[in-house]
Amino acid sequence: MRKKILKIFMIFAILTVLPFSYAAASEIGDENEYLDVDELEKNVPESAADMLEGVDIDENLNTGGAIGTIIGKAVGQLGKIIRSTATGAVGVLAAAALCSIATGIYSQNSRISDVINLVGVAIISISSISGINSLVSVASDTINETGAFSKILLPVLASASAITGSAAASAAKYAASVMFIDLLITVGERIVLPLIYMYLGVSVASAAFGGSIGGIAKLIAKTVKLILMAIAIAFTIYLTVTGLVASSADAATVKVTKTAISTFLPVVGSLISDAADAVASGVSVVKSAAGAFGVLVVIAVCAVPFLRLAIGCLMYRAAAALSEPVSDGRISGLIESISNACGMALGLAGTCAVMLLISIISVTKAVAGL
Amino acid sequence: MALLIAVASGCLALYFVLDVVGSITEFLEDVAASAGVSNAVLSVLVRSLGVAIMAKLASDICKDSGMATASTGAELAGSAAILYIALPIMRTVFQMIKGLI
Repeated sequence: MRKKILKIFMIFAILTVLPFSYAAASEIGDENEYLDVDELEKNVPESAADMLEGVDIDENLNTGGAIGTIIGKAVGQLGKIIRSTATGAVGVLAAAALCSIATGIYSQNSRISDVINLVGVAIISISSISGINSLVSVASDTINETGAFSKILLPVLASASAITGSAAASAAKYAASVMFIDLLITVGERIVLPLIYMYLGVSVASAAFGGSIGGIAKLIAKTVKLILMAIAIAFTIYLTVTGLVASSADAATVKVTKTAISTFLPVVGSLISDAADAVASGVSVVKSAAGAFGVLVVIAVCAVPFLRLAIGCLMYRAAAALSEPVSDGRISGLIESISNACGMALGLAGTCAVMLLISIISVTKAVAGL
Repeated sequence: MALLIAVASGCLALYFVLDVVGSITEFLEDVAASAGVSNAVLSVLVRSLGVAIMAKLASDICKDSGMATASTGAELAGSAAILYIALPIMRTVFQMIKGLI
């Protein structure tokens, strides 16, 4: 009798639980609407919309293929980018070459050589200022776009993480990410970008008048690098110390931080390979479709600006190297400073993108099946 | 006499070079146009180059005739002339530095 009652009870229990399970599964199936994932697709920044044509947030999202498409489209604009940045670099090189012809007829320490070099510095500064302005404003637009998109993306990812049972961790990750990204954008707009312009001004003054002003320019460059590294590393340490990033994601997170910060700033040599490697290792731990879409949007927003900044940096670096044997040290030093300014702008945009990618990785770590 | 020959040969060399300078100037204008450098800026550089050459010639003639002081004067005059030619650009650069800093 007892066994019969127990069997009936168990059958009753199973029959009761099943509809609730079905209801819960339906709720999870309707997550897209519940989590405003459609809002995510609607709020993709304009600069990324073309790159992401045809990519939808669903379980069939092919991240690798989409990244390939984005990179392909960015590379398609490479010719236009090279032409526009090359004109500036060629103009600067032409001015340097003419100065070297003029000073060639005089001895090194002659008065007229100094005056001609001064004129050359003035002409190079005027020729390159509009190009530099456009490159630095590209960095500013990129950090603003990634910041604006992060305000829509991170709540969606945090909500998805909360649904899977990581409510406290997702809220803490979301708060940390928003705080640090906002801090970076504010510091970037109000401190780093003005410092980059100040660096350019001091470099021009140093090239024109000589003296110890060059030391101030180096100090400004170091300050910019320190500020960006401090914010990014503080962000990573915060996530690590509070236990919000653990196990397999840590290695990717730390690698992303270290390599991106150390390579985005003026050392351009390993820029492309290390940055691509860093992004790839980060993307590998992103499991959810919404998180993967977020990563794709960040890559799409940053692809063309990064190309422009990197190529600008390389072009001016090449112009500095080509002018060094033939022109005065002050002129080639000024051209190199222009390249460094592009590198700093690239570092700022890169740091913002990397931090948003780390945020996506850490918030989506716990999400499965969205 | 030697001085006169030196001056005459210098002027003759410059005269023959004028045609060549014309072609070089056209080439520079094409390069500057492609590179987006304005003609106003390029003309400052070309004029500075011209003044530098003339000042150098004058200075060397003075040195050849044993007038070192006059040679220095010629160089100073050349420097002042180049600075005068470049004055508008210098003002622009000064404003630019003020704005950046």
